[in-house]
Amino acid sequence: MHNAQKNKTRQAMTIWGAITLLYFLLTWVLAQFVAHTTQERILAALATTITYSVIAVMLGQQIIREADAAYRQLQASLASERAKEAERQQAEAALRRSREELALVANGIPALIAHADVNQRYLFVNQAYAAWVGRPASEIVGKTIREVIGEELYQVSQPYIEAVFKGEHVSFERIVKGKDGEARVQNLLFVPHFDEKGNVIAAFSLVMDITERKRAEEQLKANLRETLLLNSVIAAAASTLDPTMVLQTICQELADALDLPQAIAGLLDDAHERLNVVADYRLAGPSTALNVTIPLTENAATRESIEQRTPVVIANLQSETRESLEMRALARQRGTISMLIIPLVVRHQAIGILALEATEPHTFTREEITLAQHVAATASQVLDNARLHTQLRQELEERKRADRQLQDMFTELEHAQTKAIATLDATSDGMLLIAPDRRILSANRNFCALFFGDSPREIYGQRLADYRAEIERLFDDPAGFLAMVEQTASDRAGQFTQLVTQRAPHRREFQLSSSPVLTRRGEYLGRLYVFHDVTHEREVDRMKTEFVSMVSHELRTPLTSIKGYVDLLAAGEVGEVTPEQREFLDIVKTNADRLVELINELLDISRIEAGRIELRRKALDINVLIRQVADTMRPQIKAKEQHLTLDLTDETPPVWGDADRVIQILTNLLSNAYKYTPTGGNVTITARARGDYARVEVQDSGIGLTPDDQAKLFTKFFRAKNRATQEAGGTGLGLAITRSLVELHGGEITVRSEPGRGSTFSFTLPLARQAIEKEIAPTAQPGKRILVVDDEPDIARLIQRYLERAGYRVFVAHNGKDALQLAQNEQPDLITLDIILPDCDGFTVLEWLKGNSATRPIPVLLLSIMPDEQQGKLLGAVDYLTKPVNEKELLAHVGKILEQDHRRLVLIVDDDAEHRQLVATHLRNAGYQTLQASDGAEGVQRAKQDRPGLILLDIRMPKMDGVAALRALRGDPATRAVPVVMMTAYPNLLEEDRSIAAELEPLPLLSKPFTAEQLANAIAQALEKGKAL
Amino acid sequence: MTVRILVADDDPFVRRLIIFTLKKRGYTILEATDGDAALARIRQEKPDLAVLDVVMPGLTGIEVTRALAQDQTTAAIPVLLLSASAQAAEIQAGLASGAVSYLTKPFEPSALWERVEAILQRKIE
Repeated sequence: MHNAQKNKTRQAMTIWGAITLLYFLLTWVLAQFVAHTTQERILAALATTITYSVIAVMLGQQIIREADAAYRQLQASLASERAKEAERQQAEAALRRSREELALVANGIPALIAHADVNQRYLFVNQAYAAWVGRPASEIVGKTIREVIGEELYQVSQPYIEAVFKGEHVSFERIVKGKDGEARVQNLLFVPHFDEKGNVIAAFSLVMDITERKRAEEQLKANLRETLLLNSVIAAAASTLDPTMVLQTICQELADALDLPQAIAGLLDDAHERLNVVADYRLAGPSTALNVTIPLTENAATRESIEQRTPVVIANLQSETRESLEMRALARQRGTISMLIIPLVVRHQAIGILALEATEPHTFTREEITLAQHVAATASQVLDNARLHTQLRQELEERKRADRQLQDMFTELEHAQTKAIATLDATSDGMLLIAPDRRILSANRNFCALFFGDSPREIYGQRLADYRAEIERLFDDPAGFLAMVEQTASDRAGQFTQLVTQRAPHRREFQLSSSPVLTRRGEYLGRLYVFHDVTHEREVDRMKTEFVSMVSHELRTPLTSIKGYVDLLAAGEVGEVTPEQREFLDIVKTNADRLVELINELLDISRIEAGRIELRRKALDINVLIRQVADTMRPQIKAKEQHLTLDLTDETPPVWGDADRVIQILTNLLSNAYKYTPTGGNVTITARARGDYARVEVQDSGIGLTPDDQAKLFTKFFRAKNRATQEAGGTGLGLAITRSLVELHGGEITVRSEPGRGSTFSFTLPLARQAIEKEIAPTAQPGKRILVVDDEPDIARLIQRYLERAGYRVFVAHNGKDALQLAQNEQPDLITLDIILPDCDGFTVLEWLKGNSATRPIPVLLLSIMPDEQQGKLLGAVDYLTKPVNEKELLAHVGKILEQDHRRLVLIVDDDAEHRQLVATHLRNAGYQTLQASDGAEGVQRAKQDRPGLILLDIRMPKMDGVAALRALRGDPATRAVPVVMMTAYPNLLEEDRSIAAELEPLPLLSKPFTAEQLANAIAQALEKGKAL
Repeated sequence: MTVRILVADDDPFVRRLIIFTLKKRGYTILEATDGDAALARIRQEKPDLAVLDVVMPGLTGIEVTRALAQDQTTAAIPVLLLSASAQAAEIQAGLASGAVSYLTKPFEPSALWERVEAILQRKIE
């Protein structure tokens, strides 16, 4: 009984010990295999400790309880023999229960647990073990291990089993086939079970399935390896930006990681046609593939990897038919058998490959391929980063350079500006640049000085009109000045010059030149106004002119006496003269004439030099002029028995020139030829068109000129030194004047000559192709009435016939009185007037016509042999023609005058003086003459008196307003038909005004302020209306 | 009654030349050596024609002509201006003042009397 008790307690202690052992085993296993971090280990230990504690408490309680019960039973058995058997049965039951409880605990653990004795017979298995074996536990207990687990598995485990029974702790792993045939990894722990004496009496086996953990561990290892690999790739990249170096590192690291002996990297060329090997790693042996070129067209496997952006595995490169012979040869040389090609892809674009080589047949696993892909992706990223970095650095460099350039440009610009300002400030001219919006863009120091004297102001951005006070103080015609700027500031084309007079602080005259300022690209910046002080120049000019005219006057007076008395003597007015006396008187007369000629030429050259000769150009028939000059000279030429030949052709088109000046040129050349050609010599004048010019040659058979003389011939006061020039006399100015006149026309004059063999002077004049067609286009206006005034009945009849043939009605007057009478009574549309009447009263007639209000508006066309255009124009003629008159030319001029609407006199009626001035400026620029009136009454008065061709009438005016004035104008027969344009400054009242004006008649209406263009349109509209009436 | 012509020129030789030429043709000559004297004599004696030099001491020929034109009693007397200046502006000013004709110095005596006769002829018409 005591023994049974002891036995029971030992059994309980044994179970206790077993559980404690199991606990340590579990903790150790968990710590060793499941937990990987300290934390996990602690957690595992905690978990198992808790499990153990629960079990221990449960067991402890149980054991104490059982021990108590046993003890009580023992006490009872001691007390009662009878009770012994019952006690034994109770103890057995308790033992059985405790075994059941052990089984219960063991079954709760997710591991295979077995307990076997030294005979290798199972004492206990838990449910998991039984399930693994596939038999119930009851069938297993009592059987040997070999029987239960089978021979094969037993063979694997036998050494360990033997070891544990020798008292060793054994731990090992083995791979077994699971139920589903899948290989599973088991971890086995064998623990010997000792008795008190230290003999092995049994062994515990704990089997755990660690397949999942093993797999996770492998994965973890792979991850770690990959991470380390990628780290080294990134580290390599960080150390250099050279892609070749990066790739070299990658090749090495990747090959090492995959335990492969060699790898290469290639990059695509720009054309994406071939790979260049830039990195080559070989564990053994030198690089052999570096700089090898792999054309994609010939290496289909490589191409596939690039094009599909996918890994390509080649089992044996040495016999791979998709790759070129060269590649295969290279593989043999390198000993490459299997190869994995991974594309390097940046932003969906393959840029190259990594190729991993195995020197023996190698099957690349999925893990290897994935790892290589990951590395390749990182490498690509790294390469792209490197590229971006390089690019960024280049861009930064670029930007720095651009910044520097910009800085340089600014500096340069500043210098240029400084230079420009300095230059502008240094010039003596005042310069003003006005933007199209009328603001001042720039002005130099002299302009500021001109405007503000010694106290310059910042005027940039101001409007010129803001300085009205200064302008009014400074200029003679302030309104005109402002209007001029106002009007021209936005004109991006024209250039003009005009005179501006400053009146304060002292009188100065400025030549104002204006031109548009355009950038190189044609952008219009504004208009430049340059004020050049010409006070002194003009003073000198005036003095020179005065001097010349004084000298001329002072010389003419004594010459008048000399010539006059000699003439009287020679004419025998004071008695008979002997032939010798007459000869001497002729010498005096000839020399007096030379002096007169010299004076005339001096006057001419001084005018030319002063630029005071204005050409009045029109289309001229050069043949007519040559004949005219030849006819004038013919008596002299004949007297010297010279032969004059005119070689002319009808095909020469008209030239564009001033008839008087062309005659002067021809006369001078012909007279020279006559002078320097001996008696009986030949003179020929030839005229031909050549290109855009007509060339006229005057050829003589005279004394000729040396080359030296030819060179100086056209300079002032030059005279060839020979007998002929001495005899012929002359001023030495004729050819200088001639050349100036030819050049004024845009032509040139040259001479060809040889001493003793004559000279040929030739000059050119531009042809008037375009101009002539316009000018002489027949524009007859049949029915118009023309008064012809000419004292020569034949000429008058001729002109009459020309005009009547063109359909005009013609009146003829032979003297001034009749002309005036007819002009007054008949009110012709045009008068032609011959001004060279014997007593010269053609001008007087013109004066009368223009002095009489009834005849003043009638345009006058002057006809003359030697007219003075200036004079005619000053007196009011609109045009002039040189006689002999050519029919076509006459009709062209008459037609043009009539067509133009000769009444280009415009009356501006407005109470606003400034606006009147502005409109007047517009009109004058458009070629109109203007009259002004400041109110309606004055306007009506002037309209009656001056008969303007057009009236601009403001609606709102003091005294008589525009509407009343219009009524008055229409009520008078003299002004009934004059076209009228109404003006108003009140846009709000526009409609009202229009309706008031429309009561009388529909008229063009201008709303102030208006542009020159609007004004021109309104005028055109009014005139059109006037024509229709 | 003979035709009376006033001749005014400050240059004695030119004056003498004009007077000689015109007297030869039978005209009666009134003489003046400057503009003021010329104007006074014309107003006083009302000649048939005045031949005036433009540039003279005192009133110029043009000023005399203008004065004559403004005066009803002398407006009908034609004036022939003699000018030693060939300047267009001066000739225009002369004609604008009311002169009927002009001659540029130096002139030939024959041209002078032909011009004078033409003016007188027109006046008679």
